[in-house]
Amino acid sequence: MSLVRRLVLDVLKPHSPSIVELSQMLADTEGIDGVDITVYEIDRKVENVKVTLEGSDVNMEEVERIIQENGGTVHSVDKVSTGRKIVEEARTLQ
Amino acid sequence: MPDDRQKDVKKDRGYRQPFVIKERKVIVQKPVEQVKNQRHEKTSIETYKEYNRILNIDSIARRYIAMNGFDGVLAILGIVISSFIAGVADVKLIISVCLGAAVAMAVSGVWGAYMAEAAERKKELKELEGSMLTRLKKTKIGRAGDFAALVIALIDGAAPFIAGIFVIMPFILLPINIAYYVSFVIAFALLFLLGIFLGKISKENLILSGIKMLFAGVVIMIIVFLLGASGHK
Repeated sequence: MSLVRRLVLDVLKPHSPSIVELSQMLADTEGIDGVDITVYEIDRKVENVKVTLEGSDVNMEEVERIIQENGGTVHSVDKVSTGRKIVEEARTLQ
Repeated sequence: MPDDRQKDVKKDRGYRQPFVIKERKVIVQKPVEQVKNQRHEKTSIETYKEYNRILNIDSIARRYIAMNGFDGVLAILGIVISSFIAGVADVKLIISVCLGAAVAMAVSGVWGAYMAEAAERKKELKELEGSMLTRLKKTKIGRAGDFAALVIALIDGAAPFIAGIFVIMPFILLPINIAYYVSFVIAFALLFLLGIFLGKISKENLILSGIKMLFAGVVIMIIVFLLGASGHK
C-alpha cells in the first residue's frame, strides 16, 4: 500500500500543551519531516487547530495517539496526499 | 553601477538612505538523519518541566513554601519563646515538644495539601473535559494533575518540617543557655530569608519584604511574652 505523504487534520485541543510543544512532538515522530499547526478558533479553554504534516511516511495512528495523549481530539481528516509524489489539488473551473 | 547611482541620489537630494538592505542569511537545512538523531526519550526532569508547563506547578509550590515555611518557623518559635519564659531547662523536653509539633505540621501539610490540590485539579480536569467532550484522565493532562497534587503535597509538608528543624537545631548542638538565643536568631533569620524569597518573587524591595516577615516574629514574641507575664502573676 502506498505511503501517506501529507495529512491535514482538524483538531480540537486544550490550550496547554501549546501548539509549539505539540508540533515538536509530532515532528519528532518517525516518518514525519515537517509539521505546521495553525490556530483558527480560540475558545475559553480549548482551541481549534489545523495540523498539516508532511513526510516520507506519515503514520496516522501514531499521530492520532500523540494528539490524544496531549488531550486533543481529531475532528476530521481534511486532506490527504499519498504516493511517490505529493500531488497538489487540480484547479477546475467550478 | 547601482551603488554609484544611489550615491548620486544621496548627494542630489541631501537625505540619507532610509534603510540598509541587510545581507540575506542562508539557512542551511540539516540533513534528515541528523535531525532524527536528536530525538530522545524524556528524562524525569523533562517530564517535570512538561507537567510544569501544563499546570504551572512552580508558582503554587513557591506559594506553599513561603506560607508553610512561615507557619513552621512561627509555631516552633512560639514554643521556644514560651519555654524560655517558663524557664524550661530540660533540653529533651523542648526537643520532643518541638519535634512533635514539626512532625504534626508536616503530616497535616502533606495530607491537607494533597486533598485540597487533588480536589482542585479534578475540578479543573472535569471543566476541561466538558469543553473537550472527551475523557482526559488517562492523557498527559490527567497525569500532570495527579503529579502536581503529589509534588505540592510533599513540598507543603516538607517546608514547615525543615523550617522547624532549623529552629530546634541549637538545642541539639549547643548548651541550653546559649541554645535559646541562637534559636531565636535562627528563627528571625529564617523569617527574614522567607521575606527575601517572597520579595524576589514579587520583584520588590528585598530588605523591606524581609523586614515585613521579620515583624511577624516580633509580634509573636511580644504576644507570648505578654501571655507569659500574665500567666506568671
